[in-house]
Amino acid sequence: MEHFISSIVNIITNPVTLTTLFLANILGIIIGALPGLTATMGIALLTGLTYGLPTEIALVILMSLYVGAIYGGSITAILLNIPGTGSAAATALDGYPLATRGRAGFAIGITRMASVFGTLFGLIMLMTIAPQLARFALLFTSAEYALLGFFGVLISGFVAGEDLKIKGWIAGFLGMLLSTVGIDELHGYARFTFGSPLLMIGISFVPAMIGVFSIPQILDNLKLTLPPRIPTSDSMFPKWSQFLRQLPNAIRSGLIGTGVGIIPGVGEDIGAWMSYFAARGMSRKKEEFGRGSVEGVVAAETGNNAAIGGALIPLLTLSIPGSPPTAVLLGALLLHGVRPGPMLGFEFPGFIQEMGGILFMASLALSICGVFVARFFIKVLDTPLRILMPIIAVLSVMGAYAIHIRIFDVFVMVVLGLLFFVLLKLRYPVAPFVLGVILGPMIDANLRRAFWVHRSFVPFLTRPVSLILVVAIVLLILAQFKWFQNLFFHQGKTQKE
Amino acid sequence: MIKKYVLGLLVALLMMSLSVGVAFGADWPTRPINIIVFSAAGGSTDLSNRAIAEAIKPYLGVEVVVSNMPGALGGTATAYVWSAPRDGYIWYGASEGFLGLAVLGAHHTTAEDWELFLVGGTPGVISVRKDSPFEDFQQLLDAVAASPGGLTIATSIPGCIWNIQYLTLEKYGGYDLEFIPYPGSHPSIVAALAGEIDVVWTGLGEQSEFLKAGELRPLAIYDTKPHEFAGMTIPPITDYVPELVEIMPLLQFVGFGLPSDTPPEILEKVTEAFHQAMQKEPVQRFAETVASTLYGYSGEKARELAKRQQAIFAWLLWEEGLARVSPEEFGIPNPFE
Repeated sequence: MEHFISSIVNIITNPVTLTTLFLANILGIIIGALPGLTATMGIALLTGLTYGLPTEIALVILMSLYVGAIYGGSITAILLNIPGTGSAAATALDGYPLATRGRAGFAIGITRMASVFGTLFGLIMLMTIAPQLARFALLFTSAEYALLGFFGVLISGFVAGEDLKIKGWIAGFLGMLLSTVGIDELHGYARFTFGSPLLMIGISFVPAMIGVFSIPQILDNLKLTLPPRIPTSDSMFPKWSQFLRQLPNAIRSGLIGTGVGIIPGVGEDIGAWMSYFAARGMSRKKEEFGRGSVEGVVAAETGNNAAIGGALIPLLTLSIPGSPPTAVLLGALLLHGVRPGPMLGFEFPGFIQEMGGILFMASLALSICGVFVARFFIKVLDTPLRILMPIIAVLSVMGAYAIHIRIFDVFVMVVLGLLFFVLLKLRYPVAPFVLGVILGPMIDANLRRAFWVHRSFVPFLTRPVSLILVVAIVLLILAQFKWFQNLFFHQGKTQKE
Repeated sequence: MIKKYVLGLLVALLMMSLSVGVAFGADWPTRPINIIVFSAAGGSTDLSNRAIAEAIKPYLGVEVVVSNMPGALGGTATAYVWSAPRDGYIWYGASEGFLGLAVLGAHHTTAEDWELFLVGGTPGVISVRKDSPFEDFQQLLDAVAASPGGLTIATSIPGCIWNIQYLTLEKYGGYDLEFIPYPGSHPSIVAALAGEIDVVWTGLGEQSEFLKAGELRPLAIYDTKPHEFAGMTIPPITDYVPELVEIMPLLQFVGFGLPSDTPPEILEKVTEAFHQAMQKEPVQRFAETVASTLYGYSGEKARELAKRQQAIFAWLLWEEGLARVSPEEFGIPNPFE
């Protein structure tokens, strides 16, 4: 505990460290809010820039940026329905409807609280039961990864579809299908490339995400002759009582987010979706979901920030990154001569506690910086659409191009954007498609690898985690059928009688 | 006044941009040098280049910046550096992985085209998880011989050094395991820890913490002599499969390169600075962090090592059906004939 306290004291008493903490946090929020710049990219860029600095300051900068970036995605998700990061896609489902009803300030305020709460929740988990939880990460082999990814896509299709569930699933499968384009991970074999070297690179998810979220938005707004004025006069400081009412939901989402974060390679985005799904399942106001549910945004934003602490658990105890940003963080730690892993406690005693202290300060910085950055972004809504939309179009092109510095990605963005402009009119949801593109490679490679290793499907049913996931997937699909619903419905009735 | 100043600055910038490509070897370097690393931040290629950049700065008297340009197996960065002017300001940060790029169809350059500076590398270790039935390498080999293809092995991505080393065991020893590809060294280690695969073959640097903690048990090291590590003595693979002596050394190496047709006076200066930087603290720290042996090879020594390994890489990849272009196209001799 003394390392935790002393690292906090060190940050507070050193003006240079404190300043960098806040600046890195602001930078993180901006990176998160801008579509195309991700937490992973931000950490990668700053890893190089902080090489020459003392380890502690470098870690303060990287962690503060990480926490900010995971929150930042929600700002644009709420204000423009364009999530800045994949982890904020679930936030857009209810955040944007809230904004269109003139409650943008409230939505931004409550997600900030949820993000701070989620970060602290993950941090407490990291500090208290990291070694015990680390073993949990090793329960996941190829079979579990494939099923977990598939479950994630099914869930997002299930919760995002306002029309028929099947439409959500079609969108999810379309994303999975597109993700298989390119060089396959197991054999280096080119699939669906039609001999084109451009397609070999494949469809990367950032341009796809920007395209499907922003292009339909831009085109829809071009048709409007009179811009819809959304009054944005509401306060960005929700009352504590309003957040406390969400506490059970936030604690559940914190648990789910941390749990998902621990699973190696599955990151903040699934943390948000699973939490959102659970919140919806447990809610007494199911009908509000997708139309501006406060529970929905709180669940999603608690879930993705809680995944940070979760992802740090296997990183620090097993040297296995829990999410894409922590994979870059591993490199940053190695650069500074810190080797995370089972020996960390012997080689660098108190290091996990110091990380906890830095994370604590980063969430504190977020509760302050979040207000300033959001204030600036909320002015965006006062900009006339005929000016705002071209700016978003330019930002979208830049964001799609920046990720790999490839013009092909810009075409991917435009083509998928136009495709979804049509699909949205037919009431197909966007979010499951994006998740399909993100999780597709994980599902594909792991499913084939699992069959390769086991040479049968029996282990899918004999391994405990795998069996749970299979049952969950089967139930989720069966629940769509009338006869199955009636089965349970009648049971419920008989129990009542 | 301000306008005049800005105009002057613009003219100066214009002059500078015109002078790019005309290398004045005598007063080189006059501006920052950029090392373009062909893989992501945090890997050992990246770590070694950041360490050498830090250490070489004082000897060149300019800033040395490292940027990452992963993509297309490293082909993206290779193409970028190759198309840059030959003025010594853009270096190529790479590992032994670049030796396969030509036959994989990622870039047309081969080992002959680069002046290489090899910082170091980590040896390959063959390990099993702690509750594995195999106590030593001989027991493992006996089990493999008893049921060819019955045991599973992970060696990170196909075509990387550990994968190539494993292929030599198959080729020279006749031992056949079921090779399961994973997207990197870490996922390979996790698969071994989680019990999904039987054997993991990756670098000592990546495995070091698990070996120290006793989570993984090292059975052999890909070398001709034993290796002391964390109080353990890891026996060399040649104790069990002597035939492998003729293919050794087959090393992992990380470092940087400049196109061979860079003006010789620039290459001389880089060589001199490189050998001085190799002795410095950041480089020593890099070696310790990722359990690497420091090489410090340059010039002919580095080129010979790279050419020899390139032949092995290229032909093994070609035989395995992983390559897209025949090594003959590049005039790479077949080392197995």
